[in-house]
Amino acid sequence: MVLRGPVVALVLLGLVPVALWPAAAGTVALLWLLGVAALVAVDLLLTPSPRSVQLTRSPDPQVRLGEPTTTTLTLTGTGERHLRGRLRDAWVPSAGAEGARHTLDLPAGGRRTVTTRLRPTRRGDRRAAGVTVRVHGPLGLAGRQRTVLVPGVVRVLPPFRSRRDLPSRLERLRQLDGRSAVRTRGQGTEFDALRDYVDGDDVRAIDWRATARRQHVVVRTWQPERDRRVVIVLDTSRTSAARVGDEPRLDAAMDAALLLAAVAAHAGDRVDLLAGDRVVRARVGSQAGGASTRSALLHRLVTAMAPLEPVLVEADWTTLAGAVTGLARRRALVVLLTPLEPAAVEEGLLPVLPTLTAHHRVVVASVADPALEALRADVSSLQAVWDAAAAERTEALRRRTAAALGLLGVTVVDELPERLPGALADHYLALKARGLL
Amino acid sequence: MRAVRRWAPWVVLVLAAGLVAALLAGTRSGERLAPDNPGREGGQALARVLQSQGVTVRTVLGTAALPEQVAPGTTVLVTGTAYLTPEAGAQLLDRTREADRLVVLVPGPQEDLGTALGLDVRTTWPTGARLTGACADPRVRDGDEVVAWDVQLDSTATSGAVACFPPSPGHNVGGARAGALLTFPATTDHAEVSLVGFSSALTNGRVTEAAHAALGLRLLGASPELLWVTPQPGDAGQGAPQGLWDVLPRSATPAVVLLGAAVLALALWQGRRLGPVVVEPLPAVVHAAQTTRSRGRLYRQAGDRPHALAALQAGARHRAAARLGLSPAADPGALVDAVATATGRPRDQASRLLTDPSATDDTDFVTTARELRSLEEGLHR
Repeated sequence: MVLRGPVVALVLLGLVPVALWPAAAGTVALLWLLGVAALVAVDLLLTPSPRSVQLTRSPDPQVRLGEPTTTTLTLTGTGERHLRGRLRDAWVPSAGAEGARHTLDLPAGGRRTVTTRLRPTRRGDRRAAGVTVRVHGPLGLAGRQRTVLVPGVVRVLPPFRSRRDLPSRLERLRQLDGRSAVRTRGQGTEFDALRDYVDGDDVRAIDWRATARRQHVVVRTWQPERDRRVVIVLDTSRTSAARVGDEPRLDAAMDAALLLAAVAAHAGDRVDLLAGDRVVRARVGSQAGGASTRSALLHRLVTAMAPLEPVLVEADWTTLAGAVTGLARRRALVVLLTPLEPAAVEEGLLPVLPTLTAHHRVVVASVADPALEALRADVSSLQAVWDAAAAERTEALRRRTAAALGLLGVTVVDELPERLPGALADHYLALKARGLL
Repeated sequence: MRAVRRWAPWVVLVLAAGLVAALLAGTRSGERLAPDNPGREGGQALARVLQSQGVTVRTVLGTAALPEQVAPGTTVLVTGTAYLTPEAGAQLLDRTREADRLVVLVPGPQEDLGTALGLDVRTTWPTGARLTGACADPRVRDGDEVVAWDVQLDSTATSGAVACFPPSPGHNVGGARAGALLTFPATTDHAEVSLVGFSSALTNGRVTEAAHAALGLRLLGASPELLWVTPQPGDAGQGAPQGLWDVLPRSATPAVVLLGAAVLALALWQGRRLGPVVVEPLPAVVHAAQTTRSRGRLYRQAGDRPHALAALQAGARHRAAARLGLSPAADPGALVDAVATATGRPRDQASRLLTDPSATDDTDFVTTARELRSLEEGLHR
């Protein structure tokens, strides 16, 4: 039951008869209040049921973080009365619903749509909380309302901010492709084609047998190896929950994973993604490479990443390493996106690493914290100096951990969140150029 | 500290409530000339002196609260005439018939004073600033002066009244009865009645001036018991309003009920939400630098300057070695040499800053850390 504004005015209007017949004021006021109550009751009885609206929601939208989208509710009047009132399509606050309150004006048997704008402020699945239908009575005094859950979810994808780094990395990839000579012609370079010599080509690349058959000087060209495997492992354990700036480390790691996957897919490598802590939470693999599946792969990656949230448990690297081994029988580039937290790495990751390094090239990519550098640089007060000493100690421990990883043949990329994706892609390209994949 | 912050508002609140209660519970009265009012307008000074002279002072709230018949050996003082209607006046005179004397303080000119008391008296605005006794009343002595008076009381010769403190020394010679103190002798209908037109003179603020105190004591202290009546609105009688309730129109209660119903309806109208409140499932917010800050606090609590300084120096050595192209594992002596050469500082100073983790106190600790930082900045130049 809902009371409406005119009831207040109606009750106040009762002051007039009370003032006109002061002798019987008590009786007059009592009768007036009873009359108002009776009117409200009548209006309430005449109000159509809010159940006579059938609600259906448009398909769940997907949107990148920070971009707007809409969701549409279709209302169908199933009763025999014209419905007037209000309607609210409630979402969790982080779904950023704007204009969620609508006017309800639905003829009997009619159909209306109401659209709510959404601009989510957090990554992940943001849910609809319920639709409230309030139907007003014909007298304007009362109404009835009811809240029903119309399931809906907006899947908010990682923003992939490092997209702006992609063109420059692809440009570098094209430079690798079709080079006449590779400085170190290792196992990773493949014979591509023969072509006419042009100025600037390395004379060592001249194929004398082909030159003898033809009238021109012919060189062999090489292309970087293709169809290598890249396995990206996202750590969603407690160390990823810590915030760097305004977002968890996990979000920065996702950005790096997406850029690396985009570059590797362009280079013709197979990309697999694993995400997990004690259990594997997401697993995405690419089929045989090709231009048409490249965007599909990225799409599947962001869709798989969207609902991932850091869990406050310790990572079980034995499980994750087992999943990597199951995924890639051949030699692969295994990128572990895990923070370089000395205790967690030494306890969990280090004992497992030898089994991975035995078969694969392993890179540990870690999100560094700019706050640490700020703490280290500040010596303005006594407490600041204590903090600076603590920051130096933390960095020394990180260096020690990185050195221990280095001894196992693992490369460590430890960069600030905004620079990590580029640095990781560069490292991948460097490995590719040297044929070390 | 947290406990203090949590409980302080409550403690302050309780103290404030106690203070207010103590103030309210005190037996002070704000009424003019009340025997328990210590303010400038009060009458506590006079009441206390009378008590110390052996007079039993009893406070009576309103003339209606007087006993049916006041016993002999009693003086009755009424401190105001505001609620003195004819009905109340007649009742007052009737109840005090047996008393030694009735003293009525007249606070200002009042049209119906004569009719209210059934006496031949009129009131006019006072003239002159200083009055002298000049009468045959035994309680007024030669040379008594009054310098604060509120009203001039007039009567006629037929009433038999004695007027003191006339507006001018020779005023009553011709048979007139005018002055600030008018005394009617006792009759069968009433006791001796004194109307006092200088009530201001008996207040705490002015009782010490001129002959005020003496006059007050003589007027009120003649009997062993004094009934000190402070008038109340209820004295006026049945017809007059007893309180706020009687003044309001008869329809006030239903109107208030209607307004309350309107407020209730307003609350129900505005308080009904369009659907429940939606809560956000919030993640745990842990900042990555939190453990480092905690370590800093631990250093501080332990006062562990050597370890802290050693950490700062190790970091500086690491960066200096990278900067100067030395191996991180290089011998500290070689590193100190290289740093001293690069920055142009004395070798022993560079050595102390880079390798000696001892600091005598916090000031020394901070100074060493800052010098270390400036040494590093010298390398980058």
